[in-house]
Amino acid sequence: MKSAIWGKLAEFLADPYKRLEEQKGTYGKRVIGHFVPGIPAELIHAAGLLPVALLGSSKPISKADAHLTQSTCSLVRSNLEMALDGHLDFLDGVVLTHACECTRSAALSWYDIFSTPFFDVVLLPKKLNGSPVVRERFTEELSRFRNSLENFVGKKIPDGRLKESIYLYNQGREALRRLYDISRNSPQLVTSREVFMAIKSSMLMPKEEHNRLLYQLLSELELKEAGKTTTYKGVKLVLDGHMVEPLVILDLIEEVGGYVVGDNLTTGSRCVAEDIRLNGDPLEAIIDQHLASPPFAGYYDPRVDRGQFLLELVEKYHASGVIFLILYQCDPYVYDYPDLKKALNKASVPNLMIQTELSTTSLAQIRTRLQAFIEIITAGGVFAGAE
Amino acid sequence: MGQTEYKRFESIRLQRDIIDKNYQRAIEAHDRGIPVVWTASDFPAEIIYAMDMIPVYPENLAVMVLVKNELVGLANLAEEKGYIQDICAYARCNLGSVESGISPIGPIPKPDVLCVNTCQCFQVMKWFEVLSRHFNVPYYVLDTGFLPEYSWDKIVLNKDGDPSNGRSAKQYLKRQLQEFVALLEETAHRKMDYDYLREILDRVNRTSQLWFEIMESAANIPSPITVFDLYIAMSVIFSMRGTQEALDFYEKVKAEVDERVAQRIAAVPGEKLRLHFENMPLWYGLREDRDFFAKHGVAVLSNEYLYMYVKHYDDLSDPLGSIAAQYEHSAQNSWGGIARAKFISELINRLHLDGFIMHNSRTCKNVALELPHMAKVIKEKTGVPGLIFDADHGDPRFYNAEEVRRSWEQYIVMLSDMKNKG
Repeated sequence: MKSAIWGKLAEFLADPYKRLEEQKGTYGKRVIGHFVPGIPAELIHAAGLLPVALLGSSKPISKADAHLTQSTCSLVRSNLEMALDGHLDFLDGVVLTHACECTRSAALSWYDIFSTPFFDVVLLPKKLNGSPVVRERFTEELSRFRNSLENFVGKKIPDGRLKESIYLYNQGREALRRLYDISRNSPQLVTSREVFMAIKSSMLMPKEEHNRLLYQLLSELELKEAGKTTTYKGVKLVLDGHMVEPLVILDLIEEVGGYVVGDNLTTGSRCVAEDIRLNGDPLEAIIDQHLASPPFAGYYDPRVDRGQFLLELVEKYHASGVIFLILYQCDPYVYDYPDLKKALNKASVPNLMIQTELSTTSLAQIRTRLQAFIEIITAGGVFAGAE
Repeated sequence: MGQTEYKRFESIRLQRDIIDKNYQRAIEAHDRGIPVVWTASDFPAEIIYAMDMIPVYPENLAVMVLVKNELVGLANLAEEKGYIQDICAYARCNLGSVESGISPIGPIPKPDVLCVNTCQCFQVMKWFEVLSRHFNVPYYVLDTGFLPEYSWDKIVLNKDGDPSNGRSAKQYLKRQLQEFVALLEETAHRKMDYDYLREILDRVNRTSQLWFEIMESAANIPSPITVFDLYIAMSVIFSMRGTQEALDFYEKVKAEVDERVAQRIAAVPGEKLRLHFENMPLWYGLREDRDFFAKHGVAVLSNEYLYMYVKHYDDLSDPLGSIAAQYEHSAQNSWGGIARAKFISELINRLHLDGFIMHNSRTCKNVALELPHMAKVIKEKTGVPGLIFDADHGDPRFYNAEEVRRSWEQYIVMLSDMKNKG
């Protein structure tokens, strides 16, 4: 018997921005939409605001074409489409980022098109190389952002307040990691889809509410899991890329006999892997977490060999293969893919690349390719992800 | 239609020889054990020249391949490795060449150091990151950080088009430049000669001024010059700004421009319409496009991209600080769509333009993504309608010549009608 909480999360995720709009009155907070990755939601939360990640929708895109060309990724175009449709009118502010060409371009026309009371663009350094020069820039930019939020709400964000928010978010991350662990051990109890539903909704729902749901869920699950050893025979997989969208791709993976034991997605482990320490200066702690988080292709990060990182994930979770999920037009990931593929092939780790789009992904074709991939793995072959 | 022959510049023909010689020097330097630096267009190469090194530009080399119409073979090689067609045609050209060792334009010295500036675009940062893994050499990312201004009213463009901005990255940039100088010093086992750097910056100031005046001579009616001359002439300031050869070259071009202006010689005889062109040209169809527009009496006079190479270093007592101040806001890309729209609107007024054509280059995301919004804004502000067409700056597989020509022709007819009706 599945927990009723999954139903709640599924219902919420069916149209999250609509739900948020409907419930805005009960939250009693002004709502700030923000692009991903790199925006510290903890800071927005500590300012007494409700941070909500802008993760697009699966609805067809048309109005956005009047502002951005179709070489823009569907995540950014979909966010703009939602805004043009009036579906984000309930937002009191937006925070954008320059994580890549597409987010940067959205940031520039966004200001011109909409007039939310609060608007900011957080310009984090593009390189994470351990240089003190870069570190200082981080501090400077996050302090500026903190200041900008403080001006908007008309009061300071005390360190103590920020630490409370960090604590709350750490709790959420820890709960999600526990959920992920349960799924790794017992995918029949928690499916991969459910793990990613939980993570995605954690980026959208008020944190207090989401943590409550997670705790309830975990206590139900941990009772069920107690004393059980797993007998599940599925093929263990690692996902790499920016996001897994639409989530139904995870159902397809399960249908063909696979499940996810690790990932490096922005809407996955990247937002739960690292907690923010509570001692010391909280802004510096946020930067430390940013620098320690799993690598994101949009940053130049010579400290981490992304190929090695993936191989370690494969080894740690005894995965049999890696699936690259690359959004169409998501060029940072395209540049990384050939070298990552090479590293995996060299280590004889089967891998597959699938290009996805928020609105019009061809699921039948993806299913066929996933099925062939799983069959080759179970037959013991090495699948050199031909694309 | 009468035969309208495009009038080419004699002085600009010298460009090829200048570039070839400089390239030859890079090869010789490499043979003498001087480190080779691969970089990209909006990196402050003045620092590299000041260390007596010659920068090599994979973008330039890619354009040479494109002009010879030999991209597809190299791009295919890159695409076979997994560099799918979503990414920059220059990058696929270069990565195909690097991975396969095939170079249609002769041998290219391997890099000892790689460096890019993020204000140019983010793709170039990723492209060179791939190169840094391939060659296993130091890679410096100058992170300009993109400092756009978002509000039309707040954007103030000076005469060269540099916008002012509330945010500053000057210190961040200056300290990075210091890191970069240290990297070059370590690689070359010698110290930076800051007096020599000042001399180079001073020459860049003078060269930039000439380049700016050459571009702005297009305000004359008829115009002595068009972008098709400027695209060719640009290669020198692009890769050799700060050298004496560059300064001499632009003095010669300027003299020829002045002579044409004095004698009212038109680049496009019988000039009827005057246009702005946005984004990179179709490198593989440059001559055909030049002749197409000339045949229709259309002078294409400006391109924001050409203004990228106007640099001014105001305080030579602090060379790195000056470079930081210049690069903080210099690349048109980093201003963002609204500032770019304002810049184009000002060009429309200043150069007496009738319209603007925007090239939605499929794989140049940085310059292209915002074009639809920019076109709307320019139309609102100036009343001048624009045209957006789809193609690619490098990959002819995304170019349907017939369709593009038809859309240009229709646009020209529409503008002519508007003009005739006053």
